[in-house]
Amino acid sequence: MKNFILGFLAALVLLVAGPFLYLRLGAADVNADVQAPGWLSRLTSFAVHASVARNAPDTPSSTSHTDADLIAGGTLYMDGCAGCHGRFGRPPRKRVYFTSPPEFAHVGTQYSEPQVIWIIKHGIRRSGMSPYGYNEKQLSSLAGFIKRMKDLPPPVVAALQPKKP
Amino acid sequence: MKNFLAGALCAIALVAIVLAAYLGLGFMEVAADAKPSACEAALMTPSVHAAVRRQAPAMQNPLPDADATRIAGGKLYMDDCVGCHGGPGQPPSAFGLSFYPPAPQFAHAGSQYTEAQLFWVARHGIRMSGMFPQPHYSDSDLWSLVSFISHIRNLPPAVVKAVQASN
Repeated sequence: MKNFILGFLAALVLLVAGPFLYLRLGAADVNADVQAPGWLSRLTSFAVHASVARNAPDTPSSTSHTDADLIAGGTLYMDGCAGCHGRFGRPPRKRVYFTSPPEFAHVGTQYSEPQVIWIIKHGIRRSGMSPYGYNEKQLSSLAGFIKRMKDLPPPVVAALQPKKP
Repeated sequence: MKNFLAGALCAIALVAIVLAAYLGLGFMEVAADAKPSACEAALMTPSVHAAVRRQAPAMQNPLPDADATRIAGGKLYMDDCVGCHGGPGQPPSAFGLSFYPPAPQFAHAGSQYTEAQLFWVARHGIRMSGMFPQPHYSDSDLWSLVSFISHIRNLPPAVVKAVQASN
C-alpha cells in the first residue's frame, strides 16, 4: 500500500512538473506558420465547442431576418470580419496558420446563432478572435448574416457588392 | 514495485479522466474578454519568451543602423502593425489590448526581444495568439521593420515626423 501511494504521488508530480518544465524551458514550438496537428485541432475545437455550448444556448434563433437585416449584418461583416474570415464569392485563401480563422462562406459554422453572438461579444481566448463591442441589434444581424453566408439570398448578395466608382 | 506502478497508472488515469471531463463538459473558459489569470500569465509569457530565445537564430540586422532604415520600417509599421501594437506618440491600441493574450504595446512597453528575435516572431507568428505569420514581407523589409520596433521608444523626433507624415 505504501508503494502504491508513492507511485501515485510520483506520477502526479511528474504530470505537473513535466509540462511546466517543457514550457518554461522553451521546448514548446511557438511558430504559427505551420498547421496544427489534426488531433490537436480536433481536441481544441471539441473543448471550445463544449465551453461555448455551456455559456450560450445551442438553439436555433427564433428571430427571422429580413433581407434588410442581412444586408446590415453583411455591411458590418465586410468592415469588421472579412479581413480574417473572408468574403463571399471568392475561393478560400491559401494560408498556413497554426489555427486558421474559419471562412464562413465556405465552411459555414456549427454554432447556433445565439452562440455566434456570444463568440463575437466575448471572443475566444488564445486565438486571434478578440471580443467586439457591437450593440444587440448589430450582433443579431451580424450573426444572422454569418449563419446564412453559405447560402445568401440573391438580393443580399447584390446589395453587398462593392460599388463601382 | 508492482504496487508502485499500479499507483502511478492510477494517477495517470485519474488525471486523464479529470482532464477529459473538464474539457468535454465545457469548463475550459474561452471568453477572451477577461484578463489572463496570474498563474496563466506567469506561465505562458515566459514560456513564449523562452521558446523564442531558444528557436530564433542569432543574426545581425544586415541593414545600416540608421534613421533611414527606421523611417522605411516605420512606414511599414504604420501600415500593418499599428492597429494592434500602437504607434509612437499614440495611446495604447484598445483593439490590440482586447485580444487574449493582449498584443504588446511597443511604443509604451518596448520589447525584450533582440532584433533577430523580433524578426523571427514577425516572420513566423506566435501560435495561440492574434499574431499571425507574415510570409509576404521580404527579408529586407522585415529587418527595417524590426529596427523601427526595437528603437520605437527613443526615436529622434525627425524619424517620428517622417513616419507619421507618410500616413
